[in-house]
Amino acid sequence: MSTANTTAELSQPKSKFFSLPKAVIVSVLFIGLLAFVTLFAPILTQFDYDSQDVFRSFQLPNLTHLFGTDALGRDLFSRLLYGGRVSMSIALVTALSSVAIGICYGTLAGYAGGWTERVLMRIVDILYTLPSLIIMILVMLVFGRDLFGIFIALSITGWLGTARLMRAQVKSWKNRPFVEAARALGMGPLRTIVRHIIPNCVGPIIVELSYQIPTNVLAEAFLSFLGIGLRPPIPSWGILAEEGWKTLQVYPHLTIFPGIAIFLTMLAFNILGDHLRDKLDPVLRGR
Amino acid sequence: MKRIIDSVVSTLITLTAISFLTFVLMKIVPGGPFDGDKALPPEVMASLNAKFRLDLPWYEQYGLYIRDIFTDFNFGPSIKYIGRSVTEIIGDSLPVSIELGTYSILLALIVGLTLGTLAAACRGTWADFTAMILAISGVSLPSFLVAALAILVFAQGLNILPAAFWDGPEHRILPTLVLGLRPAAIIARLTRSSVLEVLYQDYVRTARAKGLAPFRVLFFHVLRNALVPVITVLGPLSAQILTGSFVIEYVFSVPGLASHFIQAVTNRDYPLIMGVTLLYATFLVVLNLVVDVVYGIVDPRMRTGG
Repeated sequence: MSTANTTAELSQPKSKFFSLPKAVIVSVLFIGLLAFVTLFAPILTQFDYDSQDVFRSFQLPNLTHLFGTDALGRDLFSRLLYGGRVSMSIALVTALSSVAIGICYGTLAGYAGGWTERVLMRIVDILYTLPSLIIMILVMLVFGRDLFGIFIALSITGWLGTARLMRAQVKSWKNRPFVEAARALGMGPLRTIVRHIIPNCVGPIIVELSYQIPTNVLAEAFLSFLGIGLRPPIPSWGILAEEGWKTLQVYPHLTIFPGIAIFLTMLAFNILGDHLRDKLDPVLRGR
Repeated sequence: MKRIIDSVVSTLITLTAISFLTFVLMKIVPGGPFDGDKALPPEVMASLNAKFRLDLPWYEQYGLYIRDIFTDFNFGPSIKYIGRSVTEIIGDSLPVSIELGTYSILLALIVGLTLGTLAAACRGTWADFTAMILAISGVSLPSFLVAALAILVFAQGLNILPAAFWDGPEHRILPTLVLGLRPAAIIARLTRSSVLEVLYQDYVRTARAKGLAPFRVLFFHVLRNALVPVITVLGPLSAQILTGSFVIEYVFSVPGLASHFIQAVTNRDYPLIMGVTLLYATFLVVLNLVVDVVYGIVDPRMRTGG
């Protein structure tokens, strides 16, 4: 049975770590490093992300300012670290919340069946045809261009994939003998779902989560870069790139460094996601 | 046939739902379009409100809006571009976006299919490895970074291509390349796994055993079947191109629909936001319908299943 394989692989990651493909190891190490430097940003850099120094504006990368300084003389290295804090926490929190919404929604649809399922999934189909960016922009208009607004905007668009996945999963599990046995013994629907169905979907959920994080990093950067996402002075990677773009032809490092930060983060999460998908989710392989 | 009718009906329901939701959303948005200007005298406000029908109850506004679209394709006046209608603005900028999008998707299809097939055919070799590194990087690269590098290298460094605007054919090259990169990478990844799946089917082995040339097998037996999943992503892929066009049109100063949409959002020009959103939605929903129908034709197995 496929579950047996998945749990076996999940339960012994340590001994298998060194047999992983090199790219995956590097990605995991990079994500770890990213978490470390963003968490300990105040210790790692002597500059604040917002302390200005007009006499040191537009410095190229040098020993004091590793990545140079911006138009207001703010140290780009510390802005990148603090920006990583903002970008990564937005990506993580919204990925978790949208996957949680998707789990509830999809499970409800799959377990209820009948017309409830049909109506709920039709709504998902409708939302699926719209580009999520448009929905995000409209939602940001309603809720405002701040952290709360971007949280709602990214959460509201990210759950559709998980909802479809969970519906399919729940439908395939809910009539298995062990679930029927639990029901026959008088277990309520909520308890059956939480105790017997969801634990069997952990693999695909983790895969979904690992793809949702880079998607959200990019979406946040995208909105902020276009000037319709977060507003300065919050330092997110998208905002840094947007500020740098104004002087691209003269001081390209102000755009390139934030761009590389986003690229490496996305690359690491995508490589990890591909690997997890191949290992945990044989159905979706090669999607 | 039943499947097609079903899709058409659901397309109509979808469009109605989207138009209604967008309209309601535009009404909920805090702050009116005239808030940013200097405080206006009440009489002026009243006449402005009357002109943009803001004095009517919302359901009448919605009814009239939909009626105007159907009777004379009128999406109302733009609030910020004085004297111009939304239909005019869309008419000016849509062809530009369509042109850019078409070039990019063609580029993406050519590059993606070639790279993906090549990678699958040479599975496990350096060619496969390189192609897949390119593809996963293409998926992970933020487009503004690619655009920045392209501008720095081709416009500033080598000085052979213009960095902005949309006049001659030389202005088409950089935006098309940058916009097509991500879809190309997506198609390459998809094609590779799809070809690999087909490559070991019995009928492919039979074709090989008959002594057919490897290229013939690859093109007529493998690719024909491997293309089916690629067709299904054409809908999401166009959405991807459309999304990508936001950054591309912005950074290369292309006067397309997306740059007007961003302007409209910044200016809170509600009729323009509404019109462009509806247009995008209609385009994607209809495209998905077409893909759905084509899918049934290409893959007979889908006709009964639905």
